[in-house]
Amino acid sequence: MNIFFIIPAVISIAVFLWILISRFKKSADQDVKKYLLALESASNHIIITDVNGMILYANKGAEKMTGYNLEEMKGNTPRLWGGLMPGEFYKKLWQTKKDKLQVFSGEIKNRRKNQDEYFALMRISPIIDQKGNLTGFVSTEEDITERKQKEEELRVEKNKLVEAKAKNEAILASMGDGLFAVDREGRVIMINAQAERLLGVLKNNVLDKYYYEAWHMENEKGAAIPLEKRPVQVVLSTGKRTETMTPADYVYVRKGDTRLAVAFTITPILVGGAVSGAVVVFRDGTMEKEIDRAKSEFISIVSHQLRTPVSGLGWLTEELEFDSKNLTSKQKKYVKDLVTLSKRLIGLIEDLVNFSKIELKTPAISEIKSIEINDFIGEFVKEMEAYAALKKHTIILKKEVSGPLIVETSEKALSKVLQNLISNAIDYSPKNTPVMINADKADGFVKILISSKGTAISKEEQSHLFEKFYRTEEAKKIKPEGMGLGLYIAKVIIEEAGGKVGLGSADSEEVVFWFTIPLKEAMINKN
Amino acid sequence: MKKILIVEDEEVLLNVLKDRFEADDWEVSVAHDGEEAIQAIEKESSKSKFDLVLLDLLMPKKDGFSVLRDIKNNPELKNLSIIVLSNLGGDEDIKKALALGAKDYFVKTQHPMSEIVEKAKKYKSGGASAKTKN
Repeated sequence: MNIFFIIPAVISIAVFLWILISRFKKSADQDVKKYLLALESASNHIIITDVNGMILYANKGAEKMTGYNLEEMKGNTPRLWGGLMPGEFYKKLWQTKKDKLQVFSGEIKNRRKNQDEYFALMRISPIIDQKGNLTGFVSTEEDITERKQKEEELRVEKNKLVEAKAKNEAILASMGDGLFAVDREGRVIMINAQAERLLGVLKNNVLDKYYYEAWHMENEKGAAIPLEKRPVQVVLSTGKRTETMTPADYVYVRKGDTRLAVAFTITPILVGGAVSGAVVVFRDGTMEKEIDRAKSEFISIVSHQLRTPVSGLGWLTEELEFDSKNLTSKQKKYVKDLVTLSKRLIGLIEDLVNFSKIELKTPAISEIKSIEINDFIGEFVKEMEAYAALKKHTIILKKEVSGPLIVETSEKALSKVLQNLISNAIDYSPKNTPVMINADKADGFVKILISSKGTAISKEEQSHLFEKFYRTEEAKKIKPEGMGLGLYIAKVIIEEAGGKVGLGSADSEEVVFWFTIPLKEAMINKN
Repeated sequence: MKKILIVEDEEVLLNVLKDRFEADDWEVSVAHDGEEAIQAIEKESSKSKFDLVLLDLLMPKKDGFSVLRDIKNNPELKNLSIIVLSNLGGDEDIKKALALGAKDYFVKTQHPMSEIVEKAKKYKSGGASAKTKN
C-alpha cells in the first residue's frame, strides 16, 4: 500500500475528528453554561455537594433561602443551616441517597443565617457518572413555611373545636335534665343522652324528625294534647319562653306506652328577632308529682280525721255554755274562752280541708248560679259585722256601680273569698279603723276592692303573698295562729272563676286587696 | 214523745248528742255502726217508727251511704226522715247522700249542736222536710 496515500487519509480523518470533537466540545460547554444559567436563575434552592456532602455549588435561590453566600457555604455541609431534625431523619436520608443511590425527599426544618427557622420540601438526588460511580448529590429545597404555618394554625383551630365540642357534649351528657332542640319547623336538631333515656328514644332515630312525631304528649288524664297546644309549638309560634315550676298537666308517652310526667323550661332560639327554633330542658316529674299528691292526700286525711275530735270539743264546750248556770263566774269565763278557742281551731281545720280539696283538684266551684254582687256582698257584710264589732272595727260598704251586677259562680266559693279577704283586713289593721269595700265595673268584669289601714308589705313579701303557707313576718306577729292559706285559697277560687286577684297599694296608710269576676254576658250587653 | 235514732261511732260525740236531744225532750236510741242502725230501725218499725234518724257516714262495718241505700230500697222504710251528720263536707258527698234520700246534711265542724237540734224539731215521721243545708 502506498504510504503517501495512507498518511494524508489519516491526517484528514484526524482533522475531521478534531473539528468534530471541538465543535462538540464547544456545544457541550455552551450547554453546561446554559444549564448553569438556568440553575442560577431558578428561584428554588439548589446545591451540589460531593459524596461527603461538602458543598461545591449553590445557586442564588439557595443563598437567598439560607442567608449564606456561596463562599460561606463552601467547605461546609448543609448542616450549616440544618441539623434541626431528629437523628433518625438524617440517618434515613444518608441511607437512601448514598447506600441505595435513590432519591430522598421529605419535609425538613432548617435555620437561616439570621436564625429564623423555615420549613422546606427537600429533594436530594445522587449524581452518578457514566461508569456508575457516585460523584455527588444535587439537593433542592422548596420553602413551605407559609403552608406549614397555615396547616399548624388549622390544626390548632381544629383541636380547639374538637375540644369545645367534646366539652359541650360532656356537659350535655352529664346534665341530669333532658335536653333537646328543634328547628323552626320542629325538627329535632340535638338531643342529649338524658333526654334519650327519659323519652325512650335513640338519637339516630329522632334527629331530623319532627319532635311531635318522635314522641307523643298527653294530659294527665290521658287525652292527647293537640299539636297547636303543645308547649314547644306555642313557643315556636309566640317566641316566648315558657316554664313549668312543678309537673303540670303534661305527660310524655314513651315506647311501650309508659308515661312520664314532666316539668320543663322551653326557650326560643331567636335570630335577629325571628324564632329559628327552641331549646327544651325537662326533667322527670313523676316523683315530685307523687310527693305532691301524697302530701295533699295526707292533709286531706288528717284534716278529715281532725274534724271528729274538734267537733266533739266544739259541741262539749257548747253544752257547757248552754248549761252554765251552776258555774262560778270564773268558770263561766273559762268556758267562754274554750268556745272561742275551739271555734278558732275549727276555722283552721276548715282551711286545711279547703286547701286539701283544692290540691286534690276537687273543683272549688260547684253549684254555679247567677248572683247579684251588690246584694250578695250586702248580705255577707251583715254577717261579718258581728265579727268586726268584736274586733272593734266597722265595715263600710260603698257601691260605685248601681244596678244589677250579675256574675255566675258558686255562692259558697264567693263567700269563702270575701270571708278570707275581709277577715284579713279586720285582723291585720289597727283597732277602731274602718274596713272599706268598694265595687266597680270595668271591661266585662266586676271588681271588688277591700281596703283597710294596715301594715306596709315589702316588695319581696308581695311577690309571695298568694303562695300557700306564706306569711309575712308582721302577720306572724299580729296573728300567730294563722296558716297562710287564706289568700292562696282566694286566688285558686277566683282564678277558677275566670277572674284575677291582686294587691293594690300596700303602704301603712292603706292596704288594698282586690279581685275580679267576669260579669254575665247578657248583662254587659244590656248596660 | 218524739223518737230519734242517733248513729255515731264516736262515743264522746254520741253521748253529747244524746244528752242534748234528751234535754230537748226526745226519746233517744243509739247505734254505733251501720249494722246496729239497720237492726234498730227494723226492730222499731214493727212497733212505731222513728221520727228522725241522725246518721253518721264514716263508720265501721257498714257506712252511712249503705244505710241510706238499704232504707231507700225498703218500701216500708222509705219515708223515714234521715239527717246526715258527717265529717265529710265535699259537694260530691252531699249530693250523693241527698240523692240516696237524706233530708238534710250537716258537716260536724260547721254547725253547732243548737242548730242541729233546732232543725230536728221540724221533723216528724212523714212530715215536712226542711231546706237543704250543708
